[in-house]
Amino acid sequence: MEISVKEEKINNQQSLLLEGTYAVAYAVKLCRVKVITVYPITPSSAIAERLAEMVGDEELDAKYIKVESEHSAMASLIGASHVGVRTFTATSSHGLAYMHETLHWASGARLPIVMSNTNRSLGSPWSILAEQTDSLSQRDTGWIQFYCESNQEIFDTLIQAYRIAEQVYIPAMVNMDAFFSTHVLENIVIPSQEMVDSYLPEFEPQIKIDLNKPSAFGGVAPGDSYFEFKYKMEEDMLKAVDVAVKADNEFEEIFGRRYGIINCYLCEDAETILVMTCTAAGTGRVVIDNMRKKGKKVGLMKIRLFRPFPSEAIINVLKNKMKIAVIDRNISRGVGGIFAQEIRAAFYNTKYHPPIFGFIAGLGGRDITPEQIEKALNYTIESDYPDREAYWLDVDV
Amino acid sequence: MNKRIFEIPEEDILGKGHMACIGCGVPLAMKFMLKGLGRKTILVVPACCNSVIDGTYPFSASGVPLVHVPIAAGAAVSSGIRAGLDMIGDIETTVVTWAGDGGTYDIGFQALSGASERDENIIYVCYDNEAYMNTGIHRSSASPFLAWTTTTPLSSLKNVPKKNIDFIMAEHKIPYIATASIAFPEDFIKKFVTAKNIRGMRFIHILIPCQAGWKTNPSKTVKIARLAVQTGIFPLYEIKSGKITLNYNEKDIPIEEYFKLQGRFRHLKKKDIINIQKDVDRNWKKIIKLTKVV
Amino acid sequence: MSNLIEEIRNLPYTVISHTNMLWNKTGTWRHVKPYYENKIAQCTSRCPCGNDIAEFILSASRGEFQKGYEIIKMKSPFPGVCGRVCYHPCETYCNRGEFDEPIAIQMIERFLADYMSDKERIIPEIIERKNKRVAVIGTGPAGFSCAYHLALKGYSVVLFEAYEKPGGMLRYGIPSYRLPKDVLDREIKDILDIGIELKTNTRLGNDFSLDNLEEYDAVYLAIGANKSRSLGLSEESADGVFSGLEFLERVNSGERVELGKKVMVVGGGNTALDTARCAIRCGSEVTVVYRRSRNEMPAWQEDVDDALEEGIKFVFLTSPTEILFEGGIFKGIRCLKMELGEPDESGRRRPIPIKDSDFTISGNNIIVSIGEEPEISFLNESFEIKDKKVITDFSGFSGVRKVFAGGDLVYKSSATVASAIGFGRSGAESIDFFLKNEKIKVKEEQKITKFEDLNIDYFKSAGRIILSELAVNERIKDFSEIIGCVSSEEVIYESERCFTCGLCTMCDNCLVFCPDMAVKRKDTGYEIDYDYCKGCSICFEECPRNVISLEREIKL
Repeated sequence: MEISVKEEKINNQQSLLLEGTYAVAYAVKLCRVKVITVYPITPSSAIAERLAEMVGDEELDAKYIKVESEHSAMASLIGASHVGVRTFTATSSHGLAYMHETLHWASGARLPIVMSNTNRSLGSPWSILAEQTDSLSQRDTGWIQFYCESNQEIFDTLIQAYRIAEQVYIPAMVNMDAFFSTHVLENIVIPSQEMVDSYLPEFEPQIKIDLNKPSAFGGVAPGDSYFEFKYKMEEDMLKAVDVAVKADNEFEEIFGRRYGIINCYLCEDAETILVMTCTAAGTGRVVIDNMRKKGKKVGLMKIRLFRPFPSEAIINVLKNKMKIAVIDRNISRGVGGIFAQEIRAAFYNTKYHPPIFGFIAGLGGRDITPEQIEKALNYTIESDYPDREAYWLDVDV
Repeated sequence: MNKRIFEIPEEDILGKGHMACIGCGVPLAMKFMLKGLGRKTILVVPACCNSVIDGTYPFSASGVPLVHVPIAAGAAVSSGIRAGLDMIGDIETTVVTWAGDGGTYDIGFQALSGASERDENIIYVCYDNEAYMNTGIHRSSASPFLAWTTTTPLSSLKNVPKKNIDFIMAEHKIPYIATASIAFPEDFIKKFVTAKNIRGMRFIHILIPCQAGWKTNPSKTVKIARLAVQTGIFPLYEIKSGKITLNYNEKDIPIEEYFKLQGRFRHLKKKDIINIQKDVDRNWKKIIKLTKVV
Repeated sequence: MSNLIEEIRNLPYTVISHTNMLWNKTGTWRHVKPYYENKIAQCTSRCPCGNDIAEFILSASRGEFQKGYEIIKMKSPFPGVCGRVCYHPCETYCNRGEFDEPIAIQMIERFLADYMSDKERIIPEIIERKNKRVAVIGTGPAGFSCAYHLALKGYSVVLFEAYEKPGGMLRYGIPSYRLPKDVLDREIKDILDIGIELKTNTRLGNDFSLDNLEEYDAVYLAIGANKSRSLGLSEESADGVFSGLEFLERVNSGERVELGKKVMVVGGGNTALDTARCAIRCGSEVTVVYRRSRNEMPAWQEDVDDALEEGIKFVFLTSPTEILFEGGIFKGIRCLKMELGEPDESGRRRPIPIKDSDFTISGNNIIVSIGEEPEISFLNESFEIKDKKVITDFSGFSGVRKVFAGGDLVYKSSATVASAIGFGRSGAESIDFFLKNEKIKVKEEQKITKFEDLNIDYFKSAGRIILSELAVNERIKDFSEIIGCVSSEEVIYESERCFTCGLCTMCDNCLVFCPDMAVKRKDTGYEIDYDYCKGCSICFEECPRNVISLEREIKL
């Protein structure tokens, strides 16, 4: 849904009241995407709807392939991206899972496809509400992953994603919460097309299909080259951290907004850091304020860039802290919360070993309440070491 | 006597040194196809024998741009390439999915059906050797009734008929469908020239004898392909905007002649052959009737 | 560790393959190697002249009639003759006959000769003249063929002919309704025009002997078999009694031989039939008397059918025992009925007289035509003779000084025009080796293409052309040629039916069907790129005419 509120035209920008899905559609339009494929799935379907209107009304000059499955959606984009045009799709949960093999293929083929994913729980049993397990299940597919809190952040990150992906030739997904982002109206500043064009030049890949120089793409890489290609991919993936930071800074110069690959709130003098992501991090910020009033030295680190994992940046913030509490709105059954696991792994080979408490909350879209967050932080402050990988909030704590 | 009515272009686009088995029919089909379509062609190859035949990095034998893709993705990737080309203003280049029977009849069927329903402007070619040959002669829904494969051994032969992909495609109401055979090169190439000049979804189904999987003598590949047509097992026809035209009108050879050259049918009993002959005859009559439908 | 980094730096950022696969010489996969090897068609293998039949028919199919004619002339100087009189074993063994109907090869040969009859026929240029001289005795098909080939090789040849005109049996034995004299004269002139000297009315044994031929470096004896066998009965030399050859000589010399109303011809061979058919054209009623049944007749069955059509009567299983005269005038013959017993040396069932079965056949003339043999009385003892024929070795050498022999004169000849022409050619080759003092090279056996070797998927059934003949009642009015020539459209149609067994016609099948693009056109043929040929042998299977052969290739 969108509602135009004020004709707030600052520098030719508009201000619109948009749901998260519509914000994504606008970002796609401004990025002059050429080939779009979207298979509808709750709660990201409105992206498909709004883009269909934009293409139909010729607001957006693109081919929109109304594919018959998400696997085909990503496969079509793999095709279009080989031709050297900018591409987009959107999906969620089961759709993302269905594309799994093509996600590997797209990143292995070095195609800078950008996708909007809505984090929604995976069945069985059915649930359509927010949870990050779907995209985290795809963390090994070689895609850049962003996790976004507000609709404006989602909009801006989508634009940044194209810039980053097209520099390092790695596809990127921008994640947002089911319903908490997709179906919530927020006032979005929509920049002008000129501003976006100046930030995001036309896509001209170095390697694409060329009829004058016929080549095969993605053929069997024998044992003496597969390893080397993967090394090269990983090299570029690791470079993407700096590229993302730079892209964020350059975004600020043109659009006036910057988010950071991680975002810290009151972390400098904090003793205990709460780590969260997506919309729940907003609630976390409120709890930090409340607890500060009570005299507790706490701070919030919101992780925005998850892949490549910004170990250096995270450790820089967390290294001298006494305790860390990670609230995971996801579960990797058998090992615990994924963010907690990755942060612990990042610390292991360093000389810093602050106790890292992992908490599980909000699965299946259940509200993560301020009370739960405060409980988690208090437990962390009061305990010396965690005695298990993951504490399920309201069950274990 | 041996004058060719239709001149076969002399230039070969497919290059020498490819990895096809001795006596494989696939490079013959690719050779003829590229003679019909020319160099402004992009091939999309889902996992199939051709994924290996073309060669490994950094080599490619095809002579035209070729995109390797996962097995279920053939028609979808072609749709995407087509969209991309249209957006950059290239309306001349032909996009071709070059898929095996597995990637068409089974795992690739969803994408094929979707692309057909959307009437995507691509040519989809199914080169059908009647099993997942590349992985090890495994049965597909294109494997014929009672054929031996490694997953339908003699103790549990395939007891269901071969899926009629051409008629299924016809019901998608796409503008052009054709069957083609490597034993009839002029007809084959002509069909690709025809297809190239039609807009919309085009489906061409080629039967490819596989010496390794069918247990045949490699030298007999073309002969077996010819017998398939002459026995009526693989009739040659075109369906243009719903109207069927038979390209080869004679059915004058009993199916035994076809079966006896193939080890994968060696176990067939007399009554099996009689029943299969009845099915082939019935199907032939049905096609003849359909050619008269306006 | 560091060199791998270099490699990685140099990789493209995505897996893209630019280079072709030509480095991969798949020829190493081969264990069977196909190669082009022209073979002999069945027709060619059976032709006693050694004609390259598939080749000349191929030219005819392309409308290249002069080229086809020249192909025949490389082996035989008598296309017009053979195109009329040969018993065409080529057609009997034609592979097309096992498919639908054999090719009318003889008619095609005849057409080519007739086509060139009013066109300039180029006299072949002799490249290397040799200063050796050869004497050829006899101007029948064997003698002319030998002289022709020797002259083409550059030798100086002199032909000796006993009769007034050259031709031997071709002129004096074969009637005009089968071989018009103008056709014969034309082909003889073409042979002599190469530069061969001809001495007619010069009979060996009468006018000269072998001893007179010292000035020649070699001699070829081709005097044929033109002495009629006799029945062994009395009065065989009386009035009203003729020998077959004598009768034919006179008729073929243009004489109007006086015959009575009823004529009997004794015999069952080709000469007997020719005799009978000439007699009927002289206006008589003719009866052929033969001691065996129709099946055992050595004459060609087609000729027997023609004779019956012309109204000649046949009396089988009958043998004359006595020639009857009344008042010095021939009256008839006394005969015995025969029955067939066990096969004799010829393989045919022996006639056995039936006791007390005498009967008389009356008539005005009898012509005895029971066989011919050579006149060898003048040949000295050093020649090996068997059954009145000269024995020669495989090369035609008689064993005596520098004398070679061929044709009906020699033992085990098959008494046909075509085999005589073949003898003449091989005799010329043997003499050539002899005169060059070289050992005779025996030609390697070439493979023959049988019907099973062909791929008939490429041929559609098509009927043979129908040859036109004079109506029966027209035929016997005079000695006009019976069989008419066909049109050029018919010749092309018929030639196109030819499978061209064993000979490449550039149909492109091998090129089209090679999965490895390993066949390319080269000049007037093809070549296989063995660097890439995997030996699948599809080319071998799909070659319609068996031009590709396979050999095992075992690499160690």
